[in-house]
Amino acid sequence: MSLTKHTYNTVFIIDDNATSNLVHKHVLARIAITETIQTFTNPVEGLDQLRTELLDPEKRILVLLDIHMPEMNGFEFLDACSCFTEKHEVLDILMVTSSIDDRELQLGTEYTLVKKVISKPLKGNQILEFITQNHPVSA
Amino acid sequence: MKWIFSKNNNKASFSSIRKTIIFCLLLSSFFALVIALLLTASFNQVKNEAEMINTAGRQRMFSQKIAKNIYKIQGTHLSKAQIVSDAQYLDSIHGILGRTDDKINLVIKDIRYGTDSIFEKVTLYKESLVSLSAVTNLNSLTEQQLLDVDRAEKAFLAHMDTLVNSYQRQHEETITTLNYLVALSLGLFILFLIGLYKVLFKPIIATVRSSLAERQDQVVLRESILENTSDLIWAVDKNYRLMACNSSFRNSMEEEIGRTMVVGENLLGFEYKHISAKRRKKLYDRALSGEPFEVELEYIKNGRKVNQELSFHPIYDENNAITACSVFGKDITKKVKTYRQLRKSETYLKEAQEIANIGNWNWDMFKNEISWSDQLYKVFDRNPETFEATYEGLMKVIYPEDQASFGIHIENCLTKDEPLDIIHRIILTDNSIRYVHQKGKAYFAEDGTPMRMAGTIQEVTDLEKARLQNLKQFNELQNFVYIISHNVRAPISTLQSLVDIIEPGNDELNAQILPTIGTTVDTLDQTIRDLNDALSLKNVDENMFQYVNLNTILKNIEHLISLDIHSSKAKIEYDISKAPTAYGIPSYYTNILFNLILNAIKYRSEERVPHIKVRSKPIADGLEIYVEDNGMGMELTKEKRKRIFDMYGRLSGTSEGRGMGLYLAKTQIEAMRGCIDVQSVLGEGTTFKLTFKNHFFPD
Repeated sequence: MSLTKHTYNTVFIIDDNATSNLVHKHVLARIAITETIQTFTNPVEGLDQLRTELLDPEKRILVLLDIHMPEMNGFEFLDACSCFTEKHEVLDILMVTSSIDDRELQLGTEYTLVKKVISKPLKGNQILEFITQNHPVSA
Repeated sequence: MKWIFSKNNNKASFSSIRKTIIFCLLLSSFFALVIALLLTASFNQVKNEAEMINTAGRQRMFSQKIAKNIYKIQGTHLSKAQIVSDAQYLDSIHGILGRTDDKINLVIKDIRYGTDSIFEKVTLYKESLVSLSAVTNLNSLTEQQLLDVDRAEKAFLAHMDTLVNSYQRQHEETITTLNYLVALSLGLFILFLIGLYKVLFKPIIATVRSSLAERQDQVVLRESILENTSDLIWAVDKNYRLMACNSSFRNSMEEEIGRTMVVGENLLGFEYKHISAKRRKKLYDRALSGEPFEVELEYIKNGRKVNQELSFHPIYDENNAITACSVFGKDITKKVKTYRQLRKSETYLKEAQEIANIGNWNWDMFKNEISWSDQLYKVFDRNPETFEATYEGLMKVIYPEDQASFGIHIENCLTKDEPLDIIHRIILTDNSIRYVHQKGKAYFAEDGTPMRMAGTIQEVTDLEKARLQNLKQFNELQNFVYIISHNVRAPISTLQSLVDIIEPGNDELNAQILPTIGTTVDTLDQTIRDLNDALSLKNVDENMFQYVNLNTILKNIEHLISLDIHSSKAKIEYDISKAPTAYGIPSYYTNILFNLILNAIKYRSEERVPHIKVRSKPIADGLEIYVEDNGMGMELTKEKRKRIFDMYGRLSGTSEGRGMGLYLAKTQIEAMRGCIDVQSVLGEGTTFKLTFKNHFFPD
């Protein structure tokens, strides 16, 4: 598996749990698919930053999105992102949740931008698998 | 004769028969009288004629005597007195012969034979004879005078003979006529009698005969009515003597007193164990005093309780005086028994209603009547005396918020024939609230209009409160599941990730401990996941059910456990062509069959190659699925059979497994209204049987 550090220009980790963000940062670091990892415990801030980043049409962005967050939950975040739907070529959103509630997991997959729903704990392999399936070119 | 017969009934009343007979007698008397008068008249004539002839003969004799005596006294002094008296006599009775215009000649006047003219001539000769005999010198008549006498006498005789002959002939004619007359009258009378018989008597006889026959029939009929019953019927006169009875009475008494009863026997004069003579007398006296009444007796006969009803009726004669009384004895044992049973079951029903606190009602829409059982008033806490059981009254009792819903239910029941089944609240007299469960059904006429409704109402306050409590607990449980699936899972998953990331470094102890922490956290995670699965699937809605292709399910499973199949070399055989479609939730079927097949591989026998058969079979309203293996098998006790499906109820300590599989499978099967059963023989294998009923298959 020869992934470059440039598979994604930047990766967003949005989770209200700082520990979780830390863990995910380490997981991502290990599989080395990007050089820039941005973590947000407040999804509103994450959304603002995402908007900014998306101004550059060339940037390939991966978002790891939690569902349950106090300021704005994952689905509200996705609703706000619905205007970026045409960006689905460059924007991959993975929902990473500790929830094992089938209905919630099912709900996530109904968003176009959501490419996969992953139950925690997140493993590096799961992301690599996703990339090989969805972006064979960069793989 | 219209007196006797009316065309309608052809029957004669006795008064009309009497009238007719009197009429006939009068008619025949009149007829006889007429005939008698006629005959008397004719006989009188005959008698007269005979008298005439007789008289004529005497006249003839007298004329000869006179002439002879005249001759005798000629030339003598013999007295002429005899001659004079004879002549006087002759003259005096001569008139009789001429009484031809007499009434008695009425009948035969037309057939006279000229007696009048003869009489006139004979009278002339008589006159001359009388005048001759009246001369003074009768003793010395002249030759001429004697000649005249002789001539007159001879002429008188001759004419008298002619007259007699004539009378004779007339007499004969009369007698002949009389004969005819008598024969004619007789004939007419006979004809009259025959006519009378034909016209009047015969119908009367027929009528009387038929009415007698009818009366006889009536008697037979009445007798058979009395006889063709098991009821005892008898009549008693004022001296308590048996006047009449039917054979049921006779047989029954014979059985009781051991001998045959005879009419006229005193009914108080023997021992009858069921009623004392004193009581019998009292009963007869009561009826004989003019009171009709009934009494019920209960006694033991041949070891069995017998109930008898006796009805007494006084019998009146035509003067309205009581002469006797009749008694009907009826065996009412069955009736009494049925009545008692009815009372008993009524009591039971009442008790049952009291115990269950359930009442029933019936609403007759035609009569607009609602009837409530006693218990229903208790359920509704209303007084039967004051509360009016009507639809409106019921509505007032129902808790205001529930009234509309109740109304809709009743309407659906009446218009769509839906069964009434509703739990609603009612307000008691002390304003407290009670829950009741109403069940009911409407009954319709042939044209579809509802005729009546019936139903039950049970107090279910405790049940309903418990149900609400359950619902609350269920919601709390759902909340708990939610907490598990989010709040508890989140730190666990973080822990799992942390264990993944951490490097033990060179510390040997850390290197030992870290993987242990990893497995412990994984176990904790799995437990949480199981708990979530177990709790969340209780909440299944039938709307989620769909047709499930078992073939697809089994292929998916085979794919999932391909590693296990490979390593165990298991052979799996499918036979689902007879019932390839199930109904329910696909993921459940996947999980159920996945667990069962995986179990079959896990608990395989070391001595043989695992062979697993999955079969499906259609049943009346669903299907059965069998998962059969040739594995270790087990000895199933009642306890084990129960434990095998319990959560964490592993049977074998040696094998791996979380003990959740069968529990989840059973829960999921039951959530889809199915059931699971297991059969197993130690060392031979195990078969799980899944039964799903009430599946809605398309045709």
